[in-house]
Amino acid sequence: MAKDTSKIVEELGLCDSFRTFYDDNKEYMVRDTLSDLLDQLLKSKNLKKSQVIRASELSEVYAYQIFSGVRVPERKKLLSLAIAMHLTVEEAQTLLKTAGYSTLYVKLPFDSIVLYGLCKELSVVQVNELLYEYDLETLG
Amino acid sequence: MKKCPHCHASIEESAHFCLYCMTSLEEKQTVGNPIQRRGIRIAAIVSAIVLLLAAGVWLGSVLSSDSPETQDVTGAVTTTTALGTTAAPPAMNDAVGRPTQTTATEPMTTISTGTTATAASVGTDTYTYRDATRDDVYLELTIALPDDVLVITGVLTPSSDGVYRVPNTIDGKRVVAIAPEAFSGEDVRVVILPDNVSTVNNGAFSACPNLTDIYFIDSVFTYSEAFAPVESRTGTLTIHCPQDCDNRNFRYYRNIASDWFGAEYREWNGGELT
Amino acid sequence: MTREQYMTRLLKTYRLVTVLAEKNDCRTLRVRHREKARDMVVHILPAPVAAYELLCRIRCEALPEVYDAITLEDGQIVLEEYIDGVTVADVMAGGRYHPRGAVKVIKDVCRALTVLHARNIVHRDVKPENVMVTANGRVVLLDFNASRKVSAGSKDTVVMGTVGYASPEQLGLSQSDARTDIYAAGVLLNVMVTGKHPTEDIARGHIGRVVRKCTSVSPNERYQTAEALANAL
Repeated sequence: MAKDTSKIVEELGLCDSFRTFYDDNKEYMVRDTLSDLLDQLLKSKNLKKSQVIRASELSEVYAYQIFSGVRVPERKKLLSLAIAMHLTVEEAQTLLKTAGYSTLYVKLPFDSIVLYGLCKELSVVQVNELLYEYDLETLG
Repeated sequence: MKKCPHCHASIEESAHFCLYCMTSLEEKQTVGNPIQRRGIRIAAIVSAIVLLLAAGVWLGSVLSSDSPETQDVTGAVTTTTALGTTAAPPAMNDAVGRPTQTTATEPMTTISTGTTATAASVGTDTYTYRDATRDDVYLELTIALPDDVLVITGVLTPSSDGVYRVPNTIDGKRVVAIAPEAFSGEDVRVVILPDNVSTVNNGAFSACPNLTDIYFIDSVFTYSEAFAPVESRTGTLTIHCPQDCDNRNFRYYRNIASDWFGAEYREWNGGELT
Repeated sequence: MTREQYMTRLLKTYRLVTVLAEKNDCRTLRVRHREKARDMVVHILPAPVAAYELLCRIRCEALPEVYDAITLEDGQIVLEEYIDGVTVADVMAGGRYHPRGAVKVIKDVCRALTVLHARNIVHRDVKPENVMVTANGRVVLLDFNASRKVSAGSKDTVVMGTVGYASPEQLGLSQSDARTDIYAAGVLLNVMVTGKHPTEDIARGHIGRVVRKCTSVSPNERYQTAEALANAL
């Protein structure tokens, strides 16, 4: 049960006290840790962790550390996972937000290629080839 | 320019390595004593703890969240995948990757695509392959995008006698590699690799203490940790391959193979298993 | 042939997986053979690094296997083994090393250094980011970009290596040699165990003594060979 972010922002502007606002809206707040969210996504998409890790081209050990919450990955590496899991753009944005990173902004060349990769369900390798072609930093 | 002795591609005169077939052109000297990975690895305990924690969480999630793939074994299955809708026609199954057989004439194998609830599973199709000569062996494969080749990723139903014959092609797609951890922990005793399989990744046969025989007919690059850890092995490993198999990569493992894999070599040219 | 021409040819057989590093004109890529699905590392360097040519002929478990080192008009391209693991720096992000674990890693690093020093190659950039550990416990010393063949009498004019791990002589006082790597290994050992540079917080006990000896200002007071360091541990 989701609530539109813009509506929540509107309420924030109109409320008399933050406490009331928070109590009303806390069920819509992002509370998951990154690893919780990743597990949820794996489950909802019926994916095997080992397959995702392989497809992400990240080091196995590093990737398991991300899933278990031992470390927060770099933004690029998190995006590798997003692409490997074939997240929707919305899911990927939420993932970035949960980890505390800026969301994908289509006007940034790097971000736009990642968005393209998500929309077209490309592999990490394909996205990296595109990034390299445009002389940008690659993922992973 | 000279010719690569293995794949006959033309390469630089001064090259030490043929990049077309990824084989080294000269014998290399092994230096620095091989690490004794015996007994309890006290080494890197702290990093191991981190790994164990990760593995523990992983194990927990494997047991709870990974649902078994539903599969129709005998007939055609239509699934929507990242690559569009495909229908796998039922066909007579030839499980064996016989070295003399070319891929063009190889009969189609029975495959069923692993169905998942969503359109794409990791941007790959998951294939399930059943060895038709026996009821029990089910291998799981994925397509490695974007080159459209198949990689063995795991065992769904273990073989009752520990014998695994890896298929050469499935539905026209070549099986080229064995992914990390594919057979890890399985009771594998004998593995037969056909000519298309050219890469065995690290950890592919890790924790397979009963592995005694490997057969291959053409050059296979085995990463150094494909069979690690060595100390868990109960007997010696015998590698069966043609005498003239210019298997340079495996060959320079040959010098230290006995240290690393405890392996012996025996000539085999296809046909009956020895 | 230029590097670009060579890369164009290479990329017909291999595809790019990711760019691993890009610093001071040196680019490191990870590529995958299209047919064999096997990975390899490609270093694109502006000038030949002698170390690679020598390493072509040997295999050492503690060093990445160098498949080929190709000298071209405008630099060098090196094809090397791809090692799937985490760097010590990555492991350190999750906590410090147990002294015994650190000792094991440093001993393997010493094996690598022994092999290099025997061929008159000084690594010059021994640090946590350059030591990789695989899931099976193989320890590998990476990245020879900063290395140099040592010839008697010349003086380093270029400052290479990483601040903190650079020994006094690397900072211009005199020529760097095998003992430069010993210094860096000592700093590395300390950092693995305490999380800090020896000048801030030196390890205790035997390890601390070893670190102190490794990081003596005068090279003559350090362990003279990597083997000596390994034996001391």
